[in-house]
Amino acid sequence: MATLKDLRGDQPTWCPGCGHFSIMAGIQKSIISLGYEPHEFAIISGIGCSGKVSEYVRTNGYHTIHGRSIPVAQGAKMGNPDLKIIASGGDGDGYGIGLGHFVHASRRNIDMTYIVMDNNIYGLTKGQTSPRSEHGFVTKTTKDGNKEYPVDPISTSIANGATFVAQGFAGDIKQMNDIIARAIEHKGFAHVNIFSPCVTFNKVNTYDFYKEHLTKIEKPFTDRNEALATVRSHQGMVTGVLYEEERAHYQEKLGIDFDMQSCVSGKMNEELLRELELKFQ
Amino acid sequence: MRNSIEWMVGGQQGEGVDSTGELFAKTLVRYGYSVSTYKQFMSRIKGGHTNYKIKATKDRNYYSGDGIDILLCLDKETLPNSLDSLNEGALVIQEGKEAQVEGSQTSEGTVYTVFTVPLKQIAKDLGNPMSKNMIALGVSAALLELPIDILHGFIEEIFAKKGEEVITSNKQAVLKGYELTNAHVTNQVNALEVPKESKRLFISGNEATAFGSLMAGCRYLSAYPITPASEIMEWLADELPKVGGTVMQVEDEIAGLCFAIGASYSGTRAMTSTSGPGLSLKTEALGMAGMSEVPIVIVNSQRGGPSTGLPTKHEQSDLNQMIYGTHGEIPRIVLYPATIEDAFYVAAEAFNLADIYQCPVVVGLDLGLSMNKMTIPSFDPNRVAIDRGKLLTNEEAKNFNETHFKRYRFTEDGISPRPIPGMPNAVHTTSSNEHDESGYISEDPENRTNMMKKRLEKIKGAIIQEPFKFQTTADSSDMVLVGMGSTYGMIQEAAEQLNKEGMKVSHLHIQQLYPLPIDKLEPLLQGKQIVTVENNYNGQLLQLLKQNTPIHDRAKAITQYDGNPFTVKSIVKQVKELISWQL
Repeated sequence: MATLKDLRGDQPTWCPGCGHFSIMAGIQKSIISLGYEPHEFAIISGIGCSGKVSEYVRTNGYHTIHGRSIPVAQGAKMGNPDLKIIASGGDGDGYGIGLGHFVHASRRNIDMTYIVMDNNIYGLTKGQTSPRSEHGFVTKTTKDGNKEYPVDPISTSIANGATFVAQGFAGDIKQMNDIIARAIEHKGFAHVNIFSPCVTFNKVNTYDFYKEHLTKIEKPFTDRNEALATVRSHQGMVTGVLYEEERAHYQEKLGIDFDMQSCVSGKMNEELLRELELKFQ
Repeated sequence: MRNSIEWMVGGQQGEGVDSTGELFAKTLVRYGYSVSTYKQFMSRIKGGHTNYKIKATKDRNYYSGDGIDILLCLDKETLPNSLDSLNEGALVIQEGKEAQVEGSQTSEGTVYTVFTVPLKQIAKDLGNPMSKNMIALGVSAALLELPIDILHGFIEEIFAKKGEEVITSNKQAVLKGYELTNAHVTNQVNALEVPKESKRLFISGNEATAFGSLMAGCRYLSAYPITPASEIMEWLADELPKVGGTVMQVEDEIAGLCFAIGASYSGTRAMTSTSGPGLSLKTEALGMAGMSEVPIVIVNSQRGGPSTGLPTKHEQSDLNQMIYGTHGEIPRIVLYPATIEDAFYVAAEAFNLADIYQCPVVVGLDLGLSMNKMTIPSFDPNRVAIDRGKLLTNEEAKNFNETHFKRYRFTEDGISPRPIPGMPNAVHTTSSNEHDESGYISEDPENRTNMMKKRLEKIKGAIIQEPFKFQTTADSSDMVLVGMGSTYGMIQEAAEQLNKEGMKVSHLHIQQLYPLPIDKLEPLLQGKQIVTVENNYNGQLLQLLKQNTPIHDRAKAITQYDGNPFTVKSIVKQVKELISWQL
């Protein structure tokens, strides 16, 4: 059985106190507690502080480009249906430059987990406003306060058909680890937004801020409208599994007997060639 | 008797011009002739003039031809638009109140005959107003003395689901066409010679590319619909599920490439297909494939650019984008088949090169090549064998005995053994950041320098079986006409004609644009006048050659960027102008 040591990759370079450490540990512990081995997973990350998690957790990893972890991750699942896939990114990566992919992944329902490390700011570029920054939030690029309103990620995934939607807090490790483990085991697109305070650049959305404002939801809704109403009535400041549904995932719905990986060096299949040529005669 | 025919149907989009042209082309193919087609169409669903051009010859041909022997006019625009293309003695079939025949002449002095037929009225009398195009096809087939059974056979296939009544009325319509020809224009009948026997396919460039990809083991395509590449996705959407693969139409062009890269990363031969605007959007992900050394095949069927440009017209202006597009410097291979037949083999080889060199391979096509059909020989399954390069099995990976497999191991040839995620003994990291051998981020200058060299030098030896085609006259030529893609047939015919007129012209058609096999090309270009023939403004192929070989004092480009393909006539004329310019 894998141990925490087996799942340690490159040495993390995040700032001391960063919420991302807890999320990384949550992924590692979930893989262990669920009884998986590192080789069964591929963690596919985008760009930003969050993107480095694919190197820090020692499973297979692919550090891709900004905003594109979800399409690469879905493709990886299509190419190798036996792989367990975790896509990961930050709020800028997933809800800014990559938002379109997130909406479509929600409605497509490919069997994978999408973990967003949400710190309401662009950290790696040293403190600019994010699509998750509150109205009035002051940053280097919004010196008079942010004039826009933040993206509501969990309402978005619930509204667009995701079959598992949860929100966690890096300061509540027990609940967060439970959420991550359940998301990994969910058959379908599982979206997990995790509040992960940026201790260097965000002096508003701190650990204390979240402790004060978050409300726990104990049981997932099975009705999207009820889930949405609850999220909205708390201005999104809820944690727990908010929505869960059992539904055939994308690859099951295709009903194809997948044979993606059998291509080996050697002769072309002449029988197949002649059969297909009939279409052109 | 004749051994070739140039035929065209023109009309308003949505009134069956395309299906009428396709049916006549197939009739000629089934008779046993070699056929090349060209479709003109507009970016709308209904309305607007469109036409379908066919050239059929007893011997193999590569070009749909400059001229027209039989012109079928389904609208009023067809004839005035086509007058310049009529061959001497052409027959024009047009709709009119009653059947009549009269002679006419173009302003250039070309004599032709107009055969007016009340197509609509006859179709109505037959009880099937939809059958008017069938009457016209019957007239066309009768003019060539084609056996009526061929068209009747197609009617039975096409209308099988519509019932006996529809089949009968359409068959009668064809018969009516034969009767009309015999009653009014018997003097115009000129039978096609009996063809040679051979097994052949009638296929478009898009279909051949998709077919070659499937045969090479590609099992996944993700793409976004775009003219003129969509048929690649559509054909594979039908065929891939039967062999355990799948096609996904994804949310945008960026996703089109990213999904395919993901599938390839996890071990499946994967591809995307697009056109210029899509390739523009894909260039960051193209860089990712280059940097992270993930094999991928990108088919780019070019159309009129820039921006939305001429979305349903032909152009060859993405050469620079295919070779240079993306920031930074990456390894890549750029191929561009010369003919529809080559598209099959080049596509198959693209997957091999992608796996062997672990880099993106761009297969360039153009609208002329993609959307038109040609008669070609049956494919040879032994010409391209599948080669997955340094892809490892788990057992092979196990022999490296590493806890964390070094995905970017330095090797002599710069190519690292590649495991697949999921293998128990090969957990590894793939990265688009600069990385060390283990795949972890590294900003160390020495590592950076070595990794850049590894990536950019590994493709130096990449070469396809037929990197170019070269035809020359018996004695050495004075001039080389250089082209790429669908200009193959026109340039070949132009060179033949010029040689007949006493010039010494050879024809070079390049199929591997990057890395350009310059050591093999240089001897062919030495001391010759070089003229590229290309469908873009800047002469991008000429620029590429000039960058690589010292031909600056004796090289020029013939360019055309009006949305239409070259004609043989225009190439010949411009080559002659260049010769006189030099004198």
